[in-house]
Amino acid sequence: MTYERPPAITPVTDKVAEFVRSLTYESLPQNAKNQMTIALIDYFRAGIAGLSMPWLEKVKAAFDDLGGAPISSVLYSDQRTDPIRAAYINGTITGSLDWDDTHVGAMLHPGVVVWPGVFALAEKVGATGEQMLAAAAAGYETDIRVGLGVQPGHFKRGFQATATCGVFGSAAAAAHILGLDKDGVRNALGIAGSYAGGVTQFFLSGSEVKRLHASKAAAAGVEAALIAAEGVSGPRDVLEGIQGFGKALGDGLDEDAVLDGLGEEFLFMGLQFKPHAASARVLSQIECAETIARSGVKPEDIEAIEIGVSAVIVGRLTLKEAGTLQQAQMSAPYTTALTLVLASETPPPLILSVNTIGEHLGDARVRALVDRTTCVVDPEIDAGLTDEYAAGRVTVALKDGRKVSETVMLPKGCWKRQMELDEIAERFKVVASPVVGEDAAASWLAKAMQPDAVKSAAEFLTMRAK
Amino acid sequence: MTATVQATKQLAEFAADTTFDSLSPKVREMMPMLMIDIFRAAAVGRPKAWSVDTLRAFEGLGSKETSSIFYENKKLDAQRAAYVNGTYAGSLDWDDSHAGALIHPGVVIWPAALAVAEMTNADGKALLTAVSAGYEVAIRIGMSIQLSHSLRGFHGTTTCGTFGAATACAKLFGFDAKRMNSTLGLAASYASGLSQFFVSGSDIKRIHAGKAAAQGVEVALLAKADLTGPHDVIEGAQGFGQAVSDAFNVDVIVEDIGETFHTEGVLLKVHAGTARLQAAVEAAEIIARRGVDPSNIEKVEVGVHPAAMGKLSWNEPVDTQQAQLSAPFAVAMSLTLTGQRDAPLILGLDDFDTCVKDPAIRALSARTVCVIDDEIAGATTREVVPARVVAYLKDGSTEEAKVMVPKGSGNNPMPMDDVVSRYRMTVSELMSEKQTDAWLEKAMNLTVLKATSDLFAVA
Repeated sequence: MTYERPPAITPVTDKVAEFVRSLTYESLPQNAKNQMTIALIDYFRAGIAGLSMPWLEKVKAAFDDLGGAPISSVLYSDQRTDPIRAAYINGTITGSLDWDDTHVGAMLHPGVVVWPGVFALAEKVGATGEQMLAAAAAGYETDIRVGLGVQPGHFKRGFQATATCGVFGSAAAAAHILGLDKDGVRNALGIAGSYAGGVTQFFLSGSEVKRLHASKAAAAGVEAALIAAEGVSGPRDVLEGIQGFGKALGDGLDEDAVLDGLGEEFLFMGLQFKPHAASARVLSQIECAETIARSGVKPEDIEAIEIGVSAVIVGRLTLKEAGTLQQAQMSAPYTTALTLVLASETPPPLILSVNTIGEHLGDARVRALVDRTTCVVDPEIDAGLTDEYAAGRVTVALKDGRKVSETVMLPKGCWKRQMELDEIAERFKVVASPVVGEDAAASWLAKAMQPDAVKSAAEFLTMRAK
Repeated sequence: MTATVQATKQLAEFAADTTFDSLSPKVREMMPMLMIDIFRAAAVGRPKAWSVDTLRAFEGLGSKETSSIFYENKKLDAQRAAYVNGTYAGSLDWDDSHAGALIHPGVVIWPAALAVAEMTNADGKALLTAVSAGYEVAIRIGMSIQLSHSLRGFHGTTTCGTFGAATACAKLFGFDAKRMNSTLGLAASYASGLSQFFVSGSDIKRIHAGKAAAQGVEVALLAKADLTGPHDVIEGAQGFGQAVSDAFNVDVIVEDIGETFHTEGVLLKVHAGTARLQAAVEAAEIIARRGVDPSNIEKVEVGVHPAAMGKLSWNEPVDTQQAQLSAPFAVAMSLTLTGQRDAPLILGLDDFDTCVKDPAIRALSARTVCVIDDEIAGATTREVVPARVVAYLKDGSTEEAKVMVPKGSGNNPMPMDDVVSRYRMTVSELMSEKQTDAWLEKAMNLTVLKATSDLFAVA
């Protein structure tokens, strides 16, 4: 028996590289430009919340032993380091909280890997606002399409796509900012493929590693682009190859999912911007719980809670223990219970921020409700799971024998119920003002709302944490 | 969902508890030899384009200068020194390997450990102990996920190597078992690397060892700064083992750990190609020494294990990288070059560079195919990869040779003298004979070396 070379297949990686190389700000439709503006503002909002997290100081301490030339800014500070380590630290600031943009079908958070890739090199090359948004668009679209090409098999194997597919998003953005030609972009993607790692054991065992998943992917993409820029080549077919990314880390690559409409249809229009610092797949349940609580149901009235979920999240987002912040953010039972408690005693709008979730980790009222919660696979909810959003249902059995049930098929923030630019901007101001000052937040926002007037990356880097 | 075997924890305890005295005598004896060969490999890899490019990519990023670059009289920070040194040493497919784990442990672990040992001013004994722990961890993880890991499209040297490098660095930082456990937890998310280069070539495999070495350093630094990873990351239900393999065998990781050292199965290759084509090269050499003229060969069959199909069976390599991974091409080289040289034949990296452009050798390679051979398949083990070569001559006759235990495998290791003389030959243009003697004196007496930096003080 001899082994024949397999027949040529569609050059997916090459087509993605050509897409990245040829994308310009002018070529983006207006709604895509607007979407990137929203994404930029929401990214800087997400970073504000990350500034006070303990793992950020640890990451900085780890890199203190290594140093780095002062080339690229660390967000909200006067610190500078080299582009790769800046991408890492900025990824940690913004990407560690599960409160950032999400593509549900690709099962990843693109912004937290793509923007660090953009900012790592934007100052170095003197990029304008338009160039930065174009690079981000290339990165988002690459990241999301690679994710769609491998999901859900990738997730089922135990990989976290933010960390794995993220290397391609960051590499595409960094290669775009560097102005690499098609071969250079393809090499950057080819090299990035060998950095694609990140497993989901944290869902079960906690720890801080997920806090670093965006960071490491962002840094890897920048590193891959810089190495490619020096002339090192990567496999030309890293995505679709028979020993490539799709097959090794999934069930193979769905090339249509990657290529359909590439360059004409921008899948980042389907992004979800999260109202809460919780997994995108529990947002519908939180909304259901808020409606129930605001209808007058008090925690002490509740006998039992049943959460209708889709089959794919069972065992991942259905854990009741939720002993750590990370687990709590990923737990449908915990976030539902917390919402039932908080929404019964505070006026709208409800915002489950990282701090709020953290403060209530040991809350006995929440724990008591979690103990009385079961998650069941609900056929209608399962059918309501699409590439862009996850439906949810919460049914509360009251002690007086009544049952109250709410169903949300389209959570707030998904593309069919999008948060508008005004809402995003308002939320940015609320979150950023206490940390950077009201004036600094307002003047930054004014710049960010008009990115095409921004002449240099420095104009986006004016905020300082007080 | 608690796995019954706490493999990650046991690996961490093993690594944290490892001392020079707890190593087996054979491991202690092997380590200086393996290190000498790494310095040899680095001298070969240093002038290659990808090595120059990689150094240039990192030099401009201006980090702290704590760790030396092989033969450069330059220093970078420990992470980037590991990257560059790993690329110099690891880019050749001419280094140590463990057949069962399907990895090259040395090219990842030594560059990482040397960089951190210099940064922390560790002595030779600490370096040797740390590296030995790293080898054993990488090899045990590799054995637990192979062969499926490789068949899925992962490159074990960079995936498993990341764990090994992180372990060695963690030892040099003096971590206890708990922090070592977190180190492994973090390492799992860095353990990556694809094997598409088998099909498409490119430079990527040239930088795989460097990348994994650098990631090992990074992971250890993150754990040193108190960051934590999942305690059961290897065996967990959503952990590394099941994510990267369809046949994860957790028991292999813990079986006789601390008693049996699989590191003892590490071997040095004679030829600058993958460990799994050494027997085929040797068998072809035997046929060529019978006086067979390559121009009289109609076609050649190479009998291999089924796992070699699709990995080592491509017979029209696009570049040197792929040629070094092609059993047919290496056989064609052996059949052609043996008659031009004194025995024993050694296929060096330069030979692959030259031959990949040689039309006659390419044509012979194109007439050479791999076939599944039941006897060879049955005799293939974790440590020994045999091969059969059958040459069909134009006159209708055939010549056949099989090599069941190639040099550099099983009970047929390269002796220290050969390792040393290969090192001497390689560095002769970089160092004077006196410098070489002095360096070898230090390297062979690694256990009494005062400071790792002394190893970089010569050239």
